[in-house]
Amino acid sequence: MKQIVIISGKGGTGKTSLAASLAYLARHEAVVADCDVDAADMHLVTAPQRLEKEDFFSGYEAVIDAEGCTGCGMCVEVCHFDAIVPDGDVYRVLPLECEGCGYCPRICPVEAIKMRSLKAGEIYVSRTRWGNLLVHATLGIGSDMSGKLVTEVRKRARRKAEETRTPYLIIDGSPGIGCPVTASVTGTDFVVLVTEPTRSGQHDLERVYEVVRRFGIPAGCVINKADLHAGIAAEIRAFAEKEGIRLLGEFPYDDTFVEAVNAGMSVAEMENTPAAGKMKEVWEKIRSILSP
Amino acid sequence: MRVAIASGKGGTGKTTVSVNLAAWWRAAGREVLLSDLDVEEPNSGLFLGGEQMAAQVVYRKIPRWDPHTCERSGNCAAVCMYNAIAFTGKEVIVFPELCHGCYACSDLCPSHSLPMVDDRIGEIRTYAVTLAGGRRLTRVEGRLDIGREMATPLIAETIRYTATLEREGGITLLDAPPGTSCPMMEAAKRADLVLLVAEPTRFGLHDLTLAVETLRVLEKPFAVIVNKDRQGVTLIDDYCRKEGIAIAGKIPHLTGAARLYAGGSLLWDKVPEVAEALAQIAAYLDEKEKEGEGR
Repeated sequence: MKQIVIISGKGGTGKTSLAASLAYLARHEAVVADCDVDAADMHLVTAPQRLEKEDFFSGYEAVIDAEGCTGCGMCVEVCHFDAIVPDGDVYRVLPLECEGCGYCPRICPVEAIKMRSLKAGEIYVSRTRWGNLLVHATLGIGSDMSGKLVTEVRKRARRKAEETRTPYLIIDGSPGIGCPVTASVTGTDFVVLVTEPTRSGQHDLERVYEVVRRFGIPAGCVINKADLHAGIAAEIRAFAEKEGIRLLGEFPYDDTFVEAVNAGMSVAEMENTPAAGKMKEVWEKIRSILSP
Repeated sequence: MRVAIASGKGGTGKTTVSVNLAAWWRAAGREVLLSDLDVEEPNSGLFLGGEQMAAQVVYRKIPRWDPHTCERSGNCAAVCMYNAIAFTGKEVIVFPELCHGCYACSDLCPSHSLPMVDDRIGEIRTYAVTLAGGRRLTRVEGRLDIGREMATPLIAETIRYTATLEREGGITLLDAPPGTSCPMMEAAKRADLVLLVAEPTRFGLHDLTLAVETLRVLEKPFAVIVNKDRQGVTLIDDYCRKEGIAIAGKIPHLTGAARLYAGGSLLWDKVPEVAEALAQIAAYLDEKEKEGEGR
């Protein structure tokens, strides 16, 4: 089974639209994982039917028992996150500040602090309207576990792909260059970088590619809104060539992506548009690159 | 007043609003400080540039093992809730990317063999920007080192530094990271008010609803800015009306503006429709500021 991850550095370049189109074109040949858990949007175009749901527990928060607390303040002294504040004669924990490090219960002389495990989100296994299995998730508000949730989503998606002997796993990755991105990219077979010829798009592409390069994973590039700025588009092509990034396709700056999203469809389903045909070419290129 | 400009979805125009509102307002005579907290992908400099005035390296604290004094109790690995420390029986191994800097392993080590030491995560740079018309504004930028994964401590440090530059009666604009998790919340928490930039697509609407839920948990006042607004597409307006959320301004979808943006140009002094929207947003914020003073 081959794992393909789609990332972009910059948001709004068409990453999810591309991932959904590849899912549509691959259908039963691909399991799909929505790893943009911060802003998971894949379900909006795949209209999935939910098959399984599971709570995802990760991390802890401290809880002070107001009855047992003597107000000695030792917990406040050791907390490096300013998460403990006075509450009358005793202390309480600010849940949004607490990092769940477990230091305070270890030093509380009267054992009035307990650690409670936290529900960080939910993970779903669904079937898209095209027939693919889709593993997706929602992240609990304020959770700092997005990287771990990405790892869990990928683990389940990989298991589903193996169980059903599906040849491809398509991963919609996260924006940025931080922890969730690393968790999306690590261990994949091919990275698709979606970019646009804007100064921001170019800058973010170069930063995120630096992360990809360190993993040593082969990469391809899709330039969306390619005719928005001819000069920067040329610079991006030159960058791709210099770095050995395969150019997989270019899409014009038009309304097809927006119209598809607002109709609840993938771009590849937008019949009689140039973009739909190009999506097909992108998928064929990826398949041929990954074929043994 | 400190205003965070955020969005659930990336690419909706957060940076466009931040840099152009900063420039427009400064040109209109207001004291403006801009702080770029999108430390994973800081882009405000692509539009504003400026002369670098200062730079400081940002460190966080992580434990470093001292094999000579270590008594091999294994206590450090036992207390770490993040699996950032492994104890093999002979050796202690620290995994910096998993460490949250809680000090538990270090403070509770019986032989004091895990002192906390500096670990570089990024940089804070300060720039003096000269605008068309000659006025100057200060821009601060947090920039995460490539290969580092933890953005939130750098964001917190960038805000702390920004606060030292704030002046009485001035306005601070924070260009927040996208999304709804920790990095975005860190920026929103330290603001008096949050502007959520949304685009009128189904993705845009969905991610806006997530951001709204997050800000409600934080109990932060907020308003929405519709960017790339299209005639006849009302899904953001409909949602805001239903939820009783104010729309502070609307920036129309214009191909000319998109091309200028692509090339790294500011829009406030070149596209009248954008300038008009910025005036609207500034007026909204002025009013909120007055309300705040009245309380």
